Amino acid sequence: MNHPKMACRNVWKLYGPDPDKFMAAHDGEPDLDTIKENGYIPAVRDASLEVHEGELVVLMGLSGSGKSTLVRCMSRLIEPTAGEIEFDGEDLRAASERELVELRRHKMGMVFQHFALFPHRTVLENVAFPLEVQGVDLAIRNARALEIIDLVGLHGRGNYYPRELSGGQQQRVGIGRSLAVEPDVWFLDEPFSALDALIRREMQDEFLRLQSTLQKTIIFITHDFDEAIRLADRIAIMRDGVIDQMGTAEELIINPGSDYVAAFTKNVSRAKLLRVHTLMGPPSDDAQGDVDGSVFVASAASQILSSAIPLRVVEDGEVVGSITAAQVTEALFEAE
Amino acid sequence: MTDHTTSEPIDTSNAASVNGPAKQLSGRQKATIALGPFLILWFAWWRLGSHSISRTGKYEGESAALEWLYRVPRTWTVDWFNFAGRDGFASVSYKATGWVNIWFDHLRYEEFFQFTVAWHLSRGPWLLVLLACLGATGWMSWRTRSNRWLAAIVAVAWMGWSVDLFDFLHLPTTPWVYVFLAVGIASAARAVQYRAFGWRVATTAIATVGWVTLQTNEESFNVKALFRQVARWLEFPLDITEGLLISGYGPWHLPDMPWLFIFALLVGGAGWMAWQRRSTAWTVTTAFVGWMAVVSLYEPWHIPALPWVVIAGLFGVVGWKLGGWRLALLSVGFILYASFVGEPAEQAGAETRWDKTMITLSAVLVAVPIAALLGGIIGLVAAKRRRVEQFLIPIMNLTQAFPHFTFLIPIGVFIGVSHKAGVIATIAYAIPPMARVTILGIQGISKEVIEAGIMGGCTRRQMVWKVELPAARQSLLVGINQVVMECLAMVVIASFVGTAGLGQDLLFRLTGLHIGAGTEIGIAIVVMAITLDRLSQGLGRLQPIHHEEGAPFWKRHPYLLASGAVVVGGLLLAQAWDAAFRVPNSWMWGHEAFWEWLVDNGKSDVALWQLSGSRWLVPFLAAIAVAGWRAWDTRRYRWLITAATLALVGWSVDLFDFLHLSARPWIYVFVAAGLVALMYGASARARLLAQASGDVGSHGEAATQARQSLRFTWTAAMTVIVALGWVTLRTIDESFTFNLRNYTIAFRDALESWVLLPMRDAFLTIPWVGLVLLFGVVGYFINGRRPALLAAGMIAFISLAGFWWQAMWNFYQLTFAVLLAIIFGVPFGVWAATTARRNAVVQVFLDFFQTFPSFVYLFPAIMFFGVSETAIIFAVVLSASVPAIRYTIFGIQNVPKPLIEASTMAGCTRRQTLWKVKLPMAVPEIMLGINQTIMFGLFMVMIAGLIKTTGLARELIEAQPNIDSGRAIVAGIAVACIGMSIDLLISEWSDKRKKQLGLIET
Repeated sequence: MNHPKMACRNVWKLYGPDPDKFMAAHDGEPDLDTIKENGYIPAVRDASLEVHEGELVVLMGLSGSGKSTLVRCMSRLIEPTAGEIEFDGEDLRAASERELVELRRHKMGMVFQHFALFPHRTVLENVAFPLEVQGVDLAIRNARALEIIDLVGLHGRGNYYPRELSGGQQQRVGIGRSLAVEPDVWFLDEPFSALDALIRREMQDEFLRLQSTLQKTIIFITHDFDEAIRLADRIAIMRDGVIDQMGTAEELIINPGSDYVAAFTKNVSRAKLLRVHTLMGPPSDDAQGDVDGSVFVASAASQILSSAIPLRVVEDGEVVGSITAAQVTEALFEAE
Repeated sequence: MTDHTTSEPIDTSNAASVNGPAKQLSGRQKATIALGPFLILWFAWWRLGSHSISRTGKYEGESAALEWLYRVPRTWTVDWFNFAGRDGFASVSYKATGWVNIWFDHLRYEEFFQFTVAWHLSRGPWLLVLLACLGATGWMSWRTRSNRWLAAIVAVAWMGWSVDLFDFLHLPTTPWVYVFLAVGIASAARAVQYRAFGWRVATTAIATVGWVTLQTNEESFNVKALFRQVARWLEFPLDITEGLLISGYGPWHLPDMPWLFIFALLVGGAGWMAWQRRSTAWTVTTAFVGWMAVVSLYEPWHIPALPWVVIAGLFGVVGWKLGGWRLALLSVGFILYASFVGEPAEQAGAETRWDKTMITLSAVLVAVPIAALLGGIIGLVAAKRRRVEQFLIPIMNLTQAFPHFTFLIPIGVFIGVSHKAGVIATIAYAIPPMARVTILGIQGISKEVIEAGIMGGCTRRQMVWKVELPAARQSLLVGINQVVMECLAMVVIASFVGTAGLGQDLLFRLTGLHIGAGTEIGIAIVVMAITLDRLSQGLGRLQPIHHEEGAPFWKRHPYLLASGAVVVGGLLLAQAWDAAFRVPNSWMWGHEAFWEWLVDNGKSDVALWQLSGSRWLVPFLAAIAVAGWRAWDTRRYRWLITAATLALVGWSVDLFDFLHLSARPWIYVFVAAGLVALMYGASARARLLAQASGDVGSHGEAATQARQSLRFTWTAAMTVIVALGWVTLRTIDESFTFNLRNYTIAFRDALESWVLLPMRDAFLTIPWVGLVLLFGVVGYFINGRRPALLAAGMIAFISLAGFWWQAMWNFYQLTFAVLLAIIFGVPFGVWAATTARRNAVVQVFLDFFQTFPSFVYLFPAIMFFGVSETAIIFAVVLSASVPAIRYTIFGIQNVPKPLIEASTMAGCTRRQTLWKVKLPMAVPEIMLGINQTIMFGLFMVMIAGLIKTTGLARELIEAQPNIDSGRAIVAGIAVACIGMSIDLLISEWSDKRKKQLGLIET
């Protein structure tokens, strides 16, 4: 695959009196203090991100860190102040209004934090809405919408109005609506944040089930690190409008690029996330007994910890390193 | 001297100064700075000037040296267009009014295109200016190649042409028509090409002007013709609704042109469908329409109006749909009231009360959709375009602060006096609130919902129709409710420019001081207002309901079927029985004599109930039976009391005299009934009490509340029954000569001579410079320069317009009445907000009073105090108390719960919680209530001009549209200035304070 499915390069978004002029006056790269001194609010600064076909990228950060703004810039719900947005190798910022409408009708879908269901439409009409605005025939779009309703587990609720549904059910409708046009790129803006913890867990499982069958390209926003590591292929951590660090969950935990990232990763259960081969040292002659390098530490912990001498780490039948109980305890309790 | 009368501004400045921009000043210092100069100036003028109030209530103060303090000297104003010297206006003492007059004269009498020529200016300089503008815009449009400048050059050229500046080109009018056409087509082409908003607006405007020009059949049109044309368009919907409700349609005769065409269309269309679908239904329809056409060849068609039975039934069905059986009952009650109550027409063919009610109803039914539509469109455009919004908001602020009468002046000038003119004034009055609600509604849609629409791939148009309008549905319906209420408030006042119907009737009675008849009509309008208000509120509450799949037709559309049944049944009934079509005269029942009696309070010897009992016996017995049955069924003592009251009323009007009983036994029956009711109620309460204490322990809050409400109910019921019994006894003894009016008149005289008149005289001596300073300084302390300049400027305008003493007259009425309203309303609000039960009861009353059109408050005022200053104040207090109470309750209930819990846990007593937590937190909201109180009061002062004209209200009403419209317009603006300047200060302060208290987001 030579180009990413969706990418943004050096995207800026400033709010204030005349952002374009301000950007031009500072060579397109003003620093944070200059921006604040001049009365501008930096929502996104110099953000670059690539998302590949079938990949699930999670944007993560505290509220106000610019993750929502960045995603809205990528879908062009918000016009970025500077930078490039690329979709399938085409420049999205050059697209006309008509082209954008076409793009959104066929290639993009979005799920919102507070569901954003149309209160005046039934579940069926909500799900069929994107098809309706495309001008798809009533019979066809209703058939399609019924399929989707079954897919998201709302069988038989087609005639209900959003206010008659629970939060979790409402978000199922929101997900269904965004899937109705079979989008290439799927944006999810904190879709489960407004739900109770138990329901959230259930919805995440449901989401993983859907994704395993659909294999969409996904940009997922959350402020919950546990959710991020549960779902993500890669995680981008944002702070003050900047992408602080990007990588897989494991990379972030082992090598936090800043205190900010470290603070996020501090309280996660490392044993369930780190694999044996990330912790191991070089092969040692003293080592006895084998342990699989690609398993999580948690599942091998009892074996390693109960052994007084190092263990051989084996992958695909070859010895790749060794690991001691001390290495495991150090890695697991490093954060404290 | 009269310091206490200005305590209100002191409060404002005091409270405001706590957190003003100049932090180093203490509140006391700020108050001194604001009030000091004002009081000194006032005192100086009061002592040094000479004052006299003429018999006609005109202020004549004089003092050579200090005159400028009080009145703006004429030499200070700029004579912009040398108008003061024009014939006929030399007598106008202030220029602004004369200036507006001359504008109106131009617009009215002279051709629009010669408008500027009459400005007594040589054309030379204007031509140069215009050519310069043309050159500049042309150059800019060439340089920037922007549509905006192209539009500007077109506009400038059109202006120049329209004022005949180019007539040196010596072209006849006709070529200009082609130019106009060309510009219109070009503009339309651009609109299509760019799909730009500006071009669409331009095209619409050009097309409208062009079309109107064609319609008027004149080579060039004047403004009056334009407005007349607009008025003519209104005939169509008015004819349709009036035809439906009163006059019927016809006669139609086939050979007449439109009907030939329509019938051809109908027969052709139905025939085509029949042939296409080969359906029996369409064949039958074709045959039927064809037969109707043939019949009408011989005999003109006349379709009668709907019978009252059908109208009542339809209202009932609509009420049932929108608010259940209660609303259905109210709606039917409204129609019944309209059909049965009122003096029978004196001769056949004269308009009855029914006709008048239906005329008013159809005016409202026409005005509401038009106003809602126009307001909705304006609001929609403003909500989407920031610049349009910025332009419209100040205008709407101004128009909403205008007294009702101001809307009539341009209407009277340009359209003349007619029913249509009144309807147009009503529409104009109701548009701004609708526009405002629409803006709020559209902007209030959750951002995510908008984004969901965009991400769904909506085009702009789809966004409007499929997302924004439906999502804002709830607020749009609230807007429609407001439009309904505004229309009804305007219906009476619009009678000044000729609206027919109830309003006109009421106006005649009021101006003729026939209070009895007036009250009766007023009640009819109130009943209509309440019904329409509840109906439109019900519309707002309506939620879509889903039906199970495969539900039969009658289950999905019960209301449609009921309406159909009502129409068919009613029409058949009316065919068979004339009384079902129109209520016969002999059934009509007027009770104006009762109101006359109430006004005169027993002075005249009017027989209250001149009706024989037999007709009323049946409904009465039915009502008593129903109430009794409800009492038995629900075991609620209030139904018992209802039954007892009904029985008492029936007895008091001699309904039961066929029983040949003397009155006395019935008193015992009544007393017994009252006792039974009381005991029943007490036992019910006791049960409730036991329940409550069983639930939460005998010291629980519920138990205390139940005990309290029990005490309250006991006291109320005992009082009512004892009072009724006493009055009954006294009446029967025929020695009952209590005359309330004697007391109220004595009270009035004392109040006027000791309080009102001295206060008025003091206020009339307020120097304008002082008040301008006061408003400016207070504004500055509240929020810096902007509010200071605005508030001071508005007060200065009143003075510059030459309406100073008139404005001060109203200002005194306002101050006094608002103070009373606050003294009564705020504590009452605090009392009502303490328990949910009180609040619920009070809210019902507030809703009820809020529905009244303001003029209604004049009736009790006149009854008690005659036509007098006190009556005006009384009416103002009545109408202005409602917002004071409402906002107080709202403010106190909106105090965050955790705060109250925190103060309770800190060991505050109830009183401490109220004074230390609730009240300080509620003060911003209460101030907004006071703001509303002032606005309501201002409107009411103006409306009180219907009975007695004082101050600016006199200027408004006496300057009838065609005599001195300039005076009325400027007086209207002056009223708006009073309201807007106070509103500005209070709402800025309240906003700031709420942010400080964290009640709203900063």
